[in-house]
Amino acid sequence: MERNSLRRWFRVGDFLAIAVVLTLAALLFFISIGGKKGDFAEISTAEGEIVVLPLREEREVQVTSRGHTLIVAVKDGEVCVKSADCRDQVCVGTGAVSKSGRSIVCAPAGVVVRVVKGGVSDADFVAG
Amino acid sequence: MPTLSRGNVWVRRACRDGVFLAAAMLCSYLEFLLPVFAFMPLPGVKLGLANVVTVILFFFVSPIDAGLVLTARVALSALLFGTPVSLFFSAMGGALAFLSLFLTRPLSHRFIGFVGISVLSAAAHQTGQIIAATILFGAGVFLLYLPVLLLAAVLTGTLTGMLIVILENRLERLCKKC
Repeated sequence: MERNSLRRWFRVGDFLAIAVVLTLAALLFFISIGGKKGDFAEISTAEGEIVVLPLREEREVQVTSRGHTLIVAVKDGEVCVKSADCRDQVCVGTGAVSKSGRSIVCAPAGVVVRVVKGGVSDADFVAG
Repeated sequence: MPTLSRGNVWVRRACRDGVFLAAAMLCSYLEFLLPVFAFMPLPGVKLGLANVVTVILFFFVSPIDAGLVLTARVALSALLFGTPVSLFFSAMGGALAFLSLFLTRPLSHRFIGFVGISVLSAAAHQTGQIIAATILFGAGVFLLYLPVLLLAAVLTGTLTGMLIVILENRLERLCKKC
């Protein structure tokens, strides 16, 4: 009886499918925890403006893009989007990033905050 | 009970798909209104109720109808409550989820049940969204968010898969009639 009810809900392949997805998630997770700390946060807006902030200094900047306003904060060598007035709040939910190559994206505003290493990529040095 | 006349196959198909499209739109709208995980800060995660409609059509009616309804649903929900960016995200997610259904089809019913099918298509949907984000914004950093989305896919896929199992018997009869 117990077996039959389980059989109603699941097949062998279901557990296999779940195992495959979980393994993939774990694998990607372990790949992602590696990585070196970055030195700068490069903020680019939809209007093409690029702001670079060193991660050494604590600081907060207000970024406006496509009619949205974001507060980007640098603290303890990490950068995060503190607040944004967009609907989905994806960027705020991303939390703080510090490793080189990582980024925070606000799709509605078209803002990308990217952590870069050493020298600044071919961007104009606007602030920092 | 009067039997349904054979009628014009295309008219019946249009009616049937229209009903399923309406159901899918309602599911999309429900998720838009009440994001199930609103209390959890996990952007990009939703229950995937609309995918239930796609899976049911795919396995009980035909892959072609499932594809048509999926395309129409993605386009219409982007028009009603989306943006061009969200259209691209859901189109990529939808395309990959649909592809995963084709891959699981030969194994279905005997080896893999609706829970497995749902989990895989939810995972494919999330992968599609990450691919869309990578295309739009460059950089492979979105890969870092994928583990979280995949974990969520296991959870939501299991729930929607069980929902399909519950609906299975009733729907099989309904789909045979129309």
